[in-house]
Parts: sequence; C-alpha cells; structure tokens
Amino acid sequence: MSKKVFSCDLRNLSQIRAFVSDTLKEYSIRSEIREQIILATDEACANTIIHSNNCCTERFIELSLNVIPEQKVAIQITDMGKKPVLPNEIEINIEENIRSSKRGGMGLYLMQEMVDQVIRIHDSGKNIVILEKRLN
Amino acid sequence: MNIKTLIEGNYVIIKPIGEVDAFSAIALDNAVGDVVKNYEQPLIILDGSELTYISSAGIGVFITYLEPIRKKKGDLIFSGMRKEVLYVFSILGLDKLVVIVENVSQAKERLSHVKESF
Repeated sequence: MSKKVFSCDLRNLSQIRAFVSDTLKEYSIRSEIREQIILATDEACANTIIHSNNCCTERFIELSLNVIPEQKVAIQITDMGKKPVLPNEIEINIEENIRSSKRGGMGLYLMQEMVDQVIRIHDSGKNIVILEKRLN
Repeated sequence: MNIKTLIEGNYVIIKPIGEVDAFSAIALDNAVGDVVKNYEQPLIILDGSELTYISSAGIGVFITYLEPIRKKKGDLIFSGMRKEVLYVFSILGLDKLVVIVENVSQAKERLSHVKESF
C-alpha cells in the first residue's frame, strides 16, 4: 500500500495526480484505466479540499492506494473537515448547465463514472471516500 | 499550465498548455472571461493541441461562458483536442453540444460564417 499526506491546497492537485500515476505505473494497468483512476481521484480530492476544508492549507488529506494486481485498485481519501452534503442522485443535464451557466455537479458525476464504486464513510469526525476500480 | 492568447483579426485563439485542474482553471477562466467581457462578438478558438488533461473545473469554464458568448452572437470552437480531453467531453455529453474541429484553420473557417451572420 502507498500512502501520502497533502495539505488542503488546490496547488497540490498536480502532485496528487503524479503520486497516483507513479504508483499505478508500477503495475500492469492499461493507460485508459490509469487515466480514469487519476481523474476520479483528482475530482474527489478537489471536492474534499474545497467543500470540506475550505482550501485551508493547515488542514490535510491522506491518500492511500492499494492495488491488487489484475483485480482492483482502491484509493482511500481521508480528511477531518466538514462532513460533505451530497445529493441523493448524481445526474447532470449538460444542456441545462450551459443554459444556466452552472458548473456544479460535474465533478461528482465524473468521479462516479470513472470508477466502479464510490464508498463514503463519516466516522469520529473523519470523512473517508473510497474509490474502487476493477482491473479484470 | 500556461495559456497563450493570440488575436488574429476577428478571432481570439486561446491555447492552454499543460493540465487544467481546479487550481489552474482559474487562469483559464480569466483568459476566456476577459475575451467574453471585452469583445462585442467573441469569436474564440480553444486550441487544445497542447492541453494534456482536463478535470470538471476546466470544463466548467466552457460551460460558464458558452451561453454569454452565444448571446453576443459569438462562438467558442474547439480545435485539435487530444483524445484524453475529448474523452472527458464525451462522458459529460459536451462533445454533442459544441463544435470540435481538427485544427485552427478549420476553426477559423467555421467562425467566418458566424462573423458573416453578425
């Protein structure tokens, strides 16, 4: 398992993507799958940094990656920020977004589409998001 | 990420170089927003030939300005997009709602018709 801690600064998103990419490159994973996992992680971390931690650089998120070769990748993102308020259903209507110049909801939608499962846990003040992607 | 903005006649070519995420999308927002604000008829070519990654924050910039651009009888055309970026467009369905062409020359050709109808 690979683990790394980042401060809640949006400037760290490029380092987060590099960390995920470098870790996944140690395994035989198709580049399309790798890119999907990187995008899902980026979206999850951006959401956590902005909405749960208000971009406060004195707060931190912890990323851990667990790869079971030829089976699955699991990425866990943990923070101690505000519990996120999420819609029950994550659907988007891009035409309506354009008409109303509204950006919201696309990050959650992309994250959901890029992986097989998104698990959210809120326990003892910790927010945990687990992104699971099957490899077989 | 760097952004090159080039004014060619009636057209503004905005070329992001590198990756657009929730941090770097601010610079892209400023670049597109300035053109939308300052031009009577914004005719923008987004040259994606060196855009290697985009997250929802970058897509959000285009979503925000498409309607204001169209209200000014302008247009935003995407050219030379890489497959990684086009993939994100397609997941969101944006590829069906905007014009995407192979290169800047084709984009200028398409925009010349928009200019004529102004």
